[in-house]
Formats: sequence, C-alpha cells, structure tokens
Amino acid sequence: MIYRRQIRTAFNGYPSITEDVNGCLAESGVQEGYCCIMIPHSTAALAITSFWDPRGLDDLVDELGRNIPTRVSYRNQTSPYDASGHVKSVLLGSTAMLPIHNGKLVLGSSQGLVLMEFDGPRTRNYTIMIQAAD
Amino acid sequence: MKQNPKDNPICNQVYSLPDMIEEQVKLCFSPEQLEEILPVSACFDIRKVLITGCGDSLAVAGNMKPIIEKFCDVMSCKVLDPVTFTRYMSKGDIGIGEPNSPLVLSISAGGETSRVVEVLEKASELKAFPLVITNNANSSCAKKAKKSFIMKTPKMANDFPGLRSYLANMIGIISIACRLGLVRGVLQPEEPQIWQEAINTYVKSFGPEMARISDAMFSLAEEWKDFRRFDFIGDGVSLNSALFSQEKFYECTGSISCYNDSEDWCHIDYFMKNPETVGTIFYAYQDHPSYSRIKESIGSAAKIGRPVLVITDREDDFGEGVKVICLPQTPAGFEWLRPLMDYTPAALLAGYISALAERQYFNSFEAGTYLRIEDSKFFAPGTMTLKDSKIEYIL
Repeated sequence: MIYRRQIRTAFNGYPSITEDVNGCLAESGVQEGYCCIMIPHSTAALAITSFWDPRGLDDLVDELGRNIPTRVSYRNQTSPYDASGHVKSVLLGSTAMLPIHNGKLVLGSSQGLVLMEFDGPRTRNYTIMIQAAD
Repeated sequence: MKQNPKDNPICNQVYSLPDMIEEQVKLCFSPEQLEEILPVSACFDIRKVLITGCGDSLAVAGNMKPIIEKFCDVMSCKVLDPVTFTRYMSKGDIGIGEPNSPLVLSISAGGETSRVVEVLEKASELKAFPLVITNNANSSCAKKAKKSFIMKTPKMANDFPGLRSYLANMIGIISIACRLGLVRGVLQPEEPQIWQEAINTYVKSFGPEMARISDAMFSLAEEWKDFRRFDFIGDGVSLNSALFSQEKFYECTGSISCYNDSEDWCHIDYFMKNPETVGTIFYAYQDHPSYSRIKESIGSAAKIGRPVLVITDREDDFGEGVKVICLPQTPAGFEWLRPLMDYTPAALLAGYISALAERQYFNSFEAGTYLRIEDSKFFAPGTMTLKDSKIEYIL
C-alpha cells in the first residue's frame, strides 16, 4: 500500500510525521513487514531522532546551520537557503526503511520521524509505502 | 479607403498585452538569467537602489520603487532622472563606498538613449553596480553596463509608441525585486512562482474585458477628439500612470497634456481656461489613502465643467456627468500590480483620438498609415537629440 501526504512546513521547521505514519500503518492492517518513508525533495530531509525535548531538534538545526551555513559562495546560485539545503539534505538523507512488528513500527521509545525543512516555508510531500512480509 | 480608427499601433499593442504576458514573465523570471545578472554575493552587496530612465522609463521607475522598498530589504530606493544622477550628484550624494552598491537600475528599451548611457558610464566609473534593462543586447547601454537584463519582448509590427516595452520593463524590475527578496530571505521560496501566477492572472484578466473598455474609450474619443488639452491626475504610485498617460497623449495626439496629484491639481491645473474643453482623467482607487481627496477633486472638476473620466477598479458614486471605466481587480494581496495595466484605457483613448482627429504620431507619422514622413524635422539628426546628445558627467 502506498500513501501520499502533504505538509506545510515553517522556516527551518521540523514537523513530526510519526503519528501520520502510524495512522497509515493501522489503516493498512499489516502486522509484519516493512515501511518505507520517502521525502521527494532536495532541500528537505528525513531524520529519526528523539521527539521528547524539542531543544534537541533546535540543536540539530543550529549545528547543521553552523557546519553548512547559508553563505554566498556556493556554486548553486539559486539562494543561500536553497544551496545549503541541498547539502544538508544529502547528508541527512531523505528515506527511511523501518521494520513492522506486531502491527507497530520498530522504533526506540524516544525515536520519531521528523521532516527537516531547509528551504521553507513550503508545502512538502512525503510518501509512505507499507509492505507485508509475505 | 480610410483606415479603421480602431486599428492603430497603440490600440493594437494594448490588445496584445494579455497575449504576450506569459512569455514575457517566463523570460524575465528565468532563474538562469536572474542568477547570471544578480549572483548571490551581489544580491547581498546591494545596500541602496537607484532607478532611472527617460520618458516612459521614469514612469516605470516610479511604479516599481515601492516594490523594491517592500520586498528587497535595502536601505533605500530612489527614483532619479538621469541628469540629476550624472550632473548634480557627487560620489558622496550617491552613497558610494561599498562594492556593488548602489545598484543603478537603468531602463532603456532601445538601449541608445544618450542620458542613460551617461548614467551607466558614471555608475561604472564610480564602481557602483550599473545594470541596464533593455531589449537591445548590442546597444550602447548594454556595452556600458556591468550587467544587462535583456527583456526579449516578443516583437510585433508597428509597436510604437512603446507600450509593450513599458509593461516588459515593469516585469523586468519585478523579477529583480523577486530575486533580491528571495536571496535576502525576505520572500519565501515558493513566492517567485506565486508572483508569476499573480502577474499572469491579472494581465490576462483584461483579455475578456478589453472589448468593453475599448468600446467605452472609443465612444469617449468621439466626444473628446477635438480637445487639445488634457489633464491626468493620480496620487501615490498612480501618479506614474498619470505621467505615462500624459506621455502617450503627447506622442499620439500632440496635445497639451499635464499630470499632477489630486492636491496640486486643485492648486494649479484647476484654473485652466475654458474648462469644458479640457479632458480630465483621474486615477481613483478605494484602497489609496488619499481616496477621499481624489473624490473631492473629481467633484470639483465636474462642477467647473470639466469633462471627466475616472479610471478605477471598484464602482462608486463619482457624481453626475462623470464617466467611469472600471478595470479588473488585482489578485488579493497583489494591489501593487495595478500599474501593469491601469494605463490601458488612457492609451486606448489616445490612440482613438489620434485616429479620429487624424493626428500624426510624434508629428512625424502619416495619420492612417503610420508611415514615417521622410523629411520630418522632428526626427532630423542634430535636431532630435535623444540618441546623439553629448555624453558628460560630473564625478
């Protein structure tokens, strides 16, 4: 089963999509299998990280900004946000493949799926594919 | 056989605007071209913007100043006539001191206007950022500028006096404002697309309305064709549409034409003799802060016997005897696009009056055929000096 979703992001936003993915999984009825999540954008990324303390996500955004700043010297001349966003997106990645066991995503108790926005605000898409094991 | 008065160069251009807009917008918003003329580093260098040009181009500049101010995060944006820039302003007045600033946006559709060449030479000499907006990549202006933004306006036969280039130059500056705003973080990444759609929607909305507007202007031209004096009144940014309309009336009809704001009109132009022979055209928009003053002035004009036309985009009661032409509205939030099209009724009126009264464009083109009179003194070298005026600037 494939589910296509849209979300409106904020500037440097990091909305959680965990609840939505869990909802799709419940709707699918799959108990054992795999879930693939894909973000089809080159200036956004998908991260698996803790959702308990939003300051940790602020740290992630800040550190990415410090290491890959929005400077003027990128060869990509679209805009500093766009150019640095491409680099950040590649480094973090834009897909995740998670096991499904007993009808749940196999994630740590503090782990969640977060869409990282590097060139927003924008409307972003993501795709969830759920595959039963047999 | 007499030429159909509705078939004339200026009216044909007005009719063509909704059809040309999509291509022009696409050309101007081309990321490749914008990135080439305004690299990211240059976008951040720019502290101040000066916009200049002659004739129609100065009206373009006035219309676009608020857009630069609103979206580009620059310290200031000024509109200057070229002579002020080249002969009256010192390096300090201009604000020289940092690389690539000020951005001197110079507009010349043909690219050969001496005063604009002069602006570009001085701006280069001062190490500012001279950028020309032109249709002529091989022109003197293009050669003098640090960067040339080539409009590539789709060509049509008899496109004079320039109307398509007027619209194209405004689109060019809007795309520059969009580029600066995007790079400097004022605009969101989706906004270039939203702006392009808003421009296309607004200009195209005139297509289905064109026959109505044109018929109204033709009827008015039949009433006003023998007038030799016209006043154009607009406040705020509409003053530039008033200026552009005045220019078209000079070019097409050779009549005395003035433009002013609604306050000064009451102080000065109000006193013109024989008011019943002065065509008086107001730009009146309800969202303008001075709308109440404009309405007072419209009332005054009507009461002293002026034949009055009001150009607006919302119906209102402007008083007895006042003719009103209501234009399509801009998309919500894009009121600043209004100057792209609100001059069109006045341009149509100029074209129809010229045709009905059998006047010559620029005193030099045969009425009806629009063929240039070969020995016209108005275009004689050394007499008409727009392109061969002495280049001179003071640093």
